[in-house]
Amino acid sequence: MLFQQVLNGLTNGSLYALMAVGVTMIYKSLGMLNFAHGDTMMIGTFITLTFINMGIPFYLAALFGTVCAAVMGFLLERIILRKVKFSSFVNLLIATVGVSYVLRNTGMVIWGTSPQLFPSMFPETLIKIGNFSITPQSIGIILISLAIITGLHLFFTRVKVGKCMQLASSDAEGAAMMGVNVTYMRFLTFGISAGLAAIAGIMIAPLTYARVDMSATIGMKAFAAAILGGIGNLWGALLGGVILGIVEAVGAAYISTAYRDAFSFIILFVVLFVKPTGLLNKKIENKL
Amino acid sequence: MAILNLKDVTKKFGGLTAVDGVSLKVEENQICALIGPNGAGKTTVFNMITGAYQVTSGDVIFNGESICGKKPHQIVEKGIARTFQNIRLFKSATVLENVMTGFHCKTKTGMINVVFQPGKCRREEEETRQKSLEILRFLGLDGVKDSQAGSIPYGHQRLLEIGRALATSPKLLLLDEPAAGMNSQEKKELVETIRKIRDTYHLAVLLVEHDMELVMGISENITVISFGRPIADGTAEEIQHNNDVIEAYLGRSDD
Amino acid sequence: MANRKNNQLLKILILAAIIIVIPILTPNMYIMQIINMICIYIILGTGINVLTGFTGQLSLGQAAFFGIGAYTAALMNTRGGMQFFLCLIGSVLLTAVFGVILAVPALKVKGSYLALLTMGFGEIVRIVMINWTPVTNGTAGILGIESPVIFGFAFDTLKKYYFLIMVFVVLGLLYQNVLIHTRTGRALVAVREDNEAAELTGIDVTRYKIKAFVLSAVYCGIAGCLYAMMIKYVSPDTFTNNVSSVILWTAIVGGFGTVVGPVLGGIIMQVLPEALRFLGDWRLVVYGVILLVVILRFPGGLYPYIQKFLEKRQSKKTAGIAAGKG
Repeated sequence: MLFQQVLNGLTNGSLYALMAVGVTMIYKSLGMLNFAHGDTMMIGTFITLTFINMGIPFYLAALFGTVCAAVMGFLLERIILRKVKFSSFVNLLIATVGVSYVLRNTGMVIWGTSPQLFPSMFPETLIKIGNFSITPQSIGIILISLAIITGLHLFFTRVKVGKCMQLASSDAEGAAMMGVNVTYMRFLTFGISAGLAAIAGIMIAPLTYARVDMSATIGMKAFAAAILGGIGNLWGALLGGVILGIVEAVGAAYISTAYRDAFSFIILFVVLFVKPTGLLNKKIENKL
Repeated sequence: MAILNLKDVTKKFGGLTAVDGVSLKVEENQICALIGPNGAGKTTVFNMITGAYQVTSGDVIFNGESICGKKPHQIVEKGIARTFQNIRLFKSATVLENVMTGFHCKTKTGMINVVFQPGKCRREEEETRQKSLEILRFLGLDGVKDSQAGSIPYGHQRLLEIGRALATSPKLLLLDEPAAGMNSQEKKELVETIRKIRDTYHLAVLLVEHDMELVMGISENITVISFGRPIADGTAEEIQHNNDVIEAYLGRSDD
Repeated sequence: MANRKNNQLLKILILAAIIIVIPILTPNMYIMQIINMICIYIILGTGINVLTGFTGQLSLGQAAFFGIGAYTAALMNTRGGMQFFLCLIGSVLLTAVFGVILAVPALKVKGSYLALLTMGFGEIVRIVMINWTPVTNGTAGILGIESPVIFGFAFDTLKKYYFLIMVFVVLGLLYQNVLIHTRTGRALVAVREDNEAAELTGIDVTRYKIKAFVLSAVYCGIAGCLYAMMIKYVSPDTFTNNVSSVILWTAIVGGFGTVVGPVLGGIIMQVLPEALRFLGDWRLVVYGVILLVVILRFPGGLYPYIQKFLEKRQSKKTAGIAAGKG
């Protein structure tokens, strides 16, 4: 029973991790949370669903959805970052909240508020090993998430563009001096972050139905996971996501299903209170 | 009696010792200086006096009482005020409001008695305003009292910071590089102002400053530290002829 | 001097006249309801102005305090049979307590973490509202709240109720106007401008941050109590994240850190969605876009810009008169 819950938690957790990676990337480059992250995911998911309903093959639709989300990420960067120099931090943050408000309401107008069935890319059959069972979906989600995060890690440490992005986020001035196009790198950061969110959404939706308000709940969990693991840290995001997923699943099973969504917020409170830098970060971030 | 007495004060950050066994005394109404090459730990000493840092070992005695472990705002209440090397005013408030803010620990109006004792609060407010204007006049800033603090000239901002510190009625004023960014004319005026402040407000001054001419001209007692350790203590004359000090500053021709 | 005093008196009289005339001129209940909601949002906006505008502590969880105030009043009234003033006191006390509870973890963080923390607080409160069914009646909410009766006078219509709310709007604004020009107000601004410098000017930063949280929570608590007794129904749907955002915008759009800002913001934020009704479903989207443009185009809110514009016109006018005389 417990093992089963841990496994379920691992599945959700790896999706939170995928979202958290995007949160972390933007935080690193902008010094703040992007409150429209969850909404980008929601829009990407629903665009995919729309394409699927139009009869376009799943993978192609997913690709379209992801690309659309990435384009939205680019646009967001244009809208928000163009103002960085002229506007205060508070205004920037509010602006992301504003974008979130606009996206969420747009979603409600176009797709309504009721949950919609979302096809899974994996077969439904259960795989039984001894006493517990596992769906190919769970295995697929965990493997894909792991693969993406590992791939990102390699991209940031081995590929030139990735290295430039890392540098531009951690030390914009230094990067500019070395001839890195910081603006372009930020652009990419936003795009990749949004694309990842869409991929996560496409995998979450079959588990929870596609619903417009998933942007708020999943978005918050992504923040919680990113902060729990230590913001700005790729592996921290993974660790935070997994811990969050497991705590949630086990808590829902043994404490209360109704308060399932509250667990992540309580964890968030505890982390911010006890160790705001997160599990894997040592240095205190002095950015606002 | 010494108003401030640092006894063998040490500060460690992790394994790094930033300040190592510094002792110094400031007498009442005395102008003293703490000098040393860059990175000697002067600002760290300031931060320990004001309570921003906890001392690792040693003791800080102010007015006959240990102030170690007290919170910064409590220490201000006891009578130590400071200015900052990189001016830190409340920029969007006016010049007058900045000084009035300094009277915080000497006044009482709160969130609740402002409703129940409006007369008393208004009187206190008026009194604060008059006293603040007095300080501004003293510093020659009354002409810009309604300007935004962030918008007045640099030299004025430095003076305003001193004004805000004076409003807390300190017995000891800590000045962190008060002459930074000033030209020689302004520096001369600053020396006069510091003396005038000491004489008018009857307080002791401890300053950290790089400009040796200014330090030597104004200080009655100078403590020199290098790499966190005290290397000399005495009058300007004694310090200028101290071999350890010359060695510590060797190669720094600008001093 | 006497002239200035007379002038001020005149201004106050005109303002009082406007306040009294508004409900008389209002043609129907639909518009009256909007006006009352504007008033409630002015109180909410004034509350967050203390916290975010003056003290610099961002909050995206004000709806939680609003909700706690409303639920407290609703429960004390429907279950305890208590009258308006007792309910109001209950709302104020409970929101104050929750203000402290949120302030304690909030002291440790700033910026977007603080925004997230307050947002999380809002979500937790809403989840509790939905799931603590024995007390809150879950998603169905609480029905049958009575209109306030004060000294035998029943505030049972929207027009009568308007005057009750107006008393709190005026008191709330007056209090804030007085407070910001005292030692406390200056301390709050000092905390916003520079934590460390404030502490080293003798201000107990921790204490003042807690005070700001409590005061802003209390404003929301009062607004919540007034809301519950006006609508006579509370449910978790009213106290969402979206409402928290709207409360924040009320203060921002009008002019952060100014007393008039939330008044202007309250009017804009409530009138705009109604004015956009012709857009049908899309109105909230357009509403959001307009607000976004205002925030990015007029950082610091509209009021300072209006002020500057009026000053410019005034100085042009005086210059014109002087030139004409010369």
